[in-house]
Amino acid sequence: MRKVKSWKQVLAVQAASMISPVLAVLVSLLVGALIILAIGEDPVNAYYQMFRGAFGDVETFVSVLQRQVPLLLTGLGYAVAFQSGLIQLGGEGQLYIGAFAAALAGYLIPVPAWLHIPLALLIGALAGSLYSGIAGVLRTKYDVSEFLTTLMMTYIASFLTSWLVMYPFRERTATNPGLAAQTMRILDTAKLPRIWPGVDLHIGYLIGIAAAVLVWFFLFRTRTGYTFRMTGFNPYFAEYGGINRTRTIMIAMLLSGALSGLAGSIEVLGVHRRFVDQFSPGYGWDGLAAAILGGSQPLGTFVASFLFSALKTGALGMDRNTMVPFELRNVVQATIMFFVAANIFGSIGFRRSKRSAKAETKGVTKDDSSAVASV
Amino acid sequence: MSHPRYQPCLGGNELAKVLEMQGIVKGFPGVLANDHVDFDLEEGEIHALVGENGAGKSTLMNILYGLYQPDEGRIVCKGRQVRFESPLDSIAAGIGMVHQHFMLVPSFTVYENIVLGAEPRRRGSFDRAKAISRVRELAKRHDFRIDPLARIHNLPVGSQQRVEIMKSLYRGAGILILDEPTAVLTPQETKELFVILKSLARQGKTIVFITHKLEEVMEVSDRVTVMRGGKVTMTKATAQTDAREIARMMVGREVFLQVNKADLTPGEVMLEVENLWVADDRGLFAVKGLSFQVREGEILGVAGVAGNGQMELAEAITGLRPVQAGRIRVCGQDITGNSPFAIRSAGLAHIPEDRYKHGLAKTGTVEENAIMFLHNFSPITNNGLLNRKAITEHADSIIENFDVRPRDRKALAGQLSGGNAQKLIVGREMTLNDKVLVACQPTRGLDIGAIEFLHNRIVQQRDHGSAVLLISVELDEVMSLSDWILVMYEGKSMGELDARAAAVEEVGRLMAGIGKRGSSGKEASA
Repeated sequence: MRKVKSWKQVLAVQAASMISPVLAVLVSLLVGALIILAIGEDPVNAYYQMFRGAFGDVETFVSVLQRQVPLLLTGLGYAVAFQSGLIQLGGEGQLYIGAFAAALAGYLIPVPAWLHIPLALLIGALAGSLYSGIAGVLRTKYDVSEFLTTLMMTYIASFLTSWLVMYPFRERTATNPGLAAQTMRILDTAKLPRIWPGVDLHIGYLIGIAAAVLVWFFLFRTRTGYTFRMTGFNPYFAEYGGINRTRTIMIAMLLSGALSGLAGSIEVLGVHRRFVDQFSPGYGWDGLAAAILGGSQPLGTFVASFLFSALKTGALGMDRNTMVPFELRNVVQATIMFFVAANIFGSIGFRRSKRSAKAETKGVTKDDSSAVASV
Repeated sequence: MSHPRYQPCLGGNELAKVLEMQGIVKGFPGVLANDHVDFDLEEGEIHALVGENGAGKSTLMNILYGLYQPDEGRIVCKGRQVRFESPLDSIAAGIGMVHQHFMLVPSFTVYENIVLGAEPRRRGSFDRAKAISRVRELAKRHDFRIDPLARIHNLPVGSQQRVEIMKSLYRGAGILILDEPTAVLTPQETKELFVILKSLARQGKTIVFITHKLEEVMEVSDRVTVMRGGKVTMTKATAQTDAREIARMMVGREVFLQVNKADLTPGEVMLEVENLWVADDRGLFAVKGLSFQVREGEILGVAGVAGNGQMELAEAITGLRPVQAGRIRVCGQDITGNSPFAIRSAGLAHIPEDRYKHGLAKTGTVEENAIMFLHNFSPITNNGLLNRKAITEHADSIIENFDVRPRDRKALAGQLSGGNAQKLIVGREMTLNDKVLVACQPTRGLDIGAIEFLHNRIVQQRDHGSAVLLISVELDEVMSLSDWILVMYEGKSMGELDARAAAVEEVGRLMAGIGKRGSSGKEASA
C-alpha cells in the first residue's frame, strides 16, 4: 500500500507501454514470413529485399522520409482527436480538401515565395479544418456521431475533388489538352524548396517534425491541451470541472482537420506540384494506423509513421526483386493493427502485473460496480 | 487480538466446521494482502467479515472462490483438504459468491439468468418449462418473492441481488459469500435482505457477509472476523462484542464515531434555493418546488431515502442538470441555468455523488486530477501554459494535507483506493477555498478511518465560514454533521429540523413521508 514508485519502476512502466506495439510489429512480420513461405518463396530474401528497398541507398531512404510526411501529419491529426475522446476518422478526406485548396492557392495567387508558401499551406490547412469543422458542428449542435460523419465525408471529399478537377478546374493547356484529370501546375513561388540541394527531400519533412513537437507541447504543456486530454479521459469529469464541451470538441475537430489539410497541401506543393485526381494512395488511412500504433502520442506517431512508410517503400523494392507481391505489406500492416487494437500482447505479457494492479485497485472497481448497479 | 484456535479434525467442536482456511498467505508485488490468515466457517452461521479497504478481505474471499491461488496455507472443506484452481472447483464444492457488481444478463429473464450455464435439457435442447418450474420451486422453498419470467433490467437492484443469490443456490451452494451486499441497497431493501439471510442460515446455509457497516454486523451476524493490514485481528461471537471494539480492531486505535463541533453563529446567506423544479432523466419532476437557505458557518443536511430527488437537486445546483423553474443564488449571485464554470466561479465547490463518474479521470494522474478548475487560473497556468512547478506544489499540498496515499502525484487516480480517491477529490474541492460546498454522499463506500477524517474536514470547512450543503442517505452522517436537517420526500421538503433537537425517529418518519409538509422550525427560530 505504502509504496512510492522508484525511477526504476517508472522506467519499467514506460518500457512496458512500448513492448506491446513492438511485439505487435515483430509478430506481424513473422506472420508475413509464414505467408511468404506458404507461397513458396524465401522469407529471408523477401525481407532482405524489403529492407534494401527502404534503406538500400540514399534515394530509397529519402523516399521513405518523403512518404512519411503525409502519414505523420494525418496521424497527428488523429492523435489530437483521439486524445480529446473524439473518434475522428476523416483524415483522408480532409487531406484531399486541403490539397485541392492548396493547389488553387498555388497557381491562382501571384505573390513572392516567402509569402506564397506559408499562404498556400495556411489555406490548405484552413480548408481541411473547415471541412472537419462540419462534423464538429453536427456533433455539438445535433449530437451526430463524428465517427460516422467523418468517415462518410471522406468519400464526399474524394468524389467532390474528383469532380472539381475533372470539370471546372481541369488543366487545358497546349501540353495537356484535357487528357489528365489534374489542375494547373502551381507557380514556382509556391514550390516547397529542398532541405539539401541535390537531395530530393522537401522542407515538408521539417514542417512535419515541427508539427509533432508543437502537438506534443500543445497537448501536454498548455491549458487547452489539458482540457482536451481531460475531456478524452472522462467527459463527465471535464463537464463537472467547468470545461466547455462544445468548445473543446470544436477546437479539437478544427485542429485535427487542419493537420490533415496541411498533409495534403505539402503533398501538392512538395511532390505533385498540382492537384492530381485520386493522388493519395490512402495516406489518411496509413496515418490512422500510425496514430493507433503510436498510442495517439506525437512521438509514437512519428516512429510509427516512419515504420509504415519504410514498410511501404520497402515493399515496392521487394515486389520488384522477388516473386512476393507488394500486397504482403497490406497483410503485415493489417496484422499489426489487429494485434494493437485487440491489445493481445498487452493482456498476455502483463497478466501478472495486471492482476496485482487489480488487487490494489479493488476499491476502485468496487465503487464502479456499485455506481453501475445503482444507475 | 488473539488468533482463533485451530481444531484440525472435526471432532471436539459442537458446531461442525464446514470450511477452514489455515495460514493463508498471499502476496502481490509490494503488498502482503493476506499474512497467515486463519478463517473458519460453521454450519448455518452468518459470519461477518469486516475490515477497512485494503485489509485483505476481498483477497481472502477471492482465494476461497478460486480466483486467486494462495502462496501458502491450505483450505479444508468438510474435513478434506482441497485446492480451488478456479471458481468451477469452488462452485463444485458448494461455494457461491454474490459480487457487488451483479453478473446478470439484463435482457434475459430471471429464470434464464439463474439456469444459465446449467440449463436443464431435454433431447439436447433447453427445457424451458423445467427450468421455470425448478426456479419457481427454488423461490418457494426459500420464500423469495420473485417472478421467474420478469426481465432483469425491469427489476430493482434488491431483486437483482436476490436473483444472484438464487443463482448460487440453484448450483447447490451451501456457503454463500456476499461482497458488501448492502452498498447498493436502500434501507428497506437491506432489511429484506437480512430477513432472507437469516432464513437461509436457519435452513443450514452458511453465509459470509463482507461489510464495513458496523450496525449491520451487530444486527445480522452470529460471528465476526475483523481484518487489518492483511491479518486477522479478532474472531468472536457477535454477542460477545460491540461496535466500539470492532471499530478499534479494524482501525487499530480508538475511533470517535461522534463528531465534535463548536457552536457557531451563522452569518450571511451563501446558498439560496427558491421554489426549485428539476426534472429527472425520464422528464418527470424529481424536485418539486424546493426552497431553502444555507448560511456562512452552517451545515444543512439533506436527509432522505435514495431516489427522492437529492441527486437531481445537487446536479441542478452545480449546473450539471437544467433547472425547469425557480432560482438558485450562490453568494447572492443568481446562477440559475449557468454553466458549471460560471457556478464554480461564483464560489461553489462540489464533492460529487459518483466519484468515478464526475469526480475524477481514472486514467489521469493525481496531479492532473488535482488541478481541475484551478487550471483556469494563475499560478497553475500562466498565459495559457501549464506551470509545472505550481502544479507539483499544489498536488503535493493536497496529498500532504489530505493524507492521500500513495504519496505519489504521478500515480494514476484509478490506482488509488476508494478512500484515497475521495480524499483527493475533497482535497481539491476544499482547497478551492470556496464559500459554498455541496457535498454529496461524501463517505459512501469508505472505511471508518476515512469517514472519520472526511467528517472532521467537512466540519472544519464549516468552522472556516463555508456554507455546506450535505446530501446523504446515511442518516447517521446527516444527524451527526448537520446544524439543520432538511428531509426530502418525493422531491419536496418534509420540513427543516434543528439538528440538536431532532430525534432519529422523527427524521425517520419524515423520510418515510409521514408528517406534515412544508418547512417549519427554521423560519420560526431564525
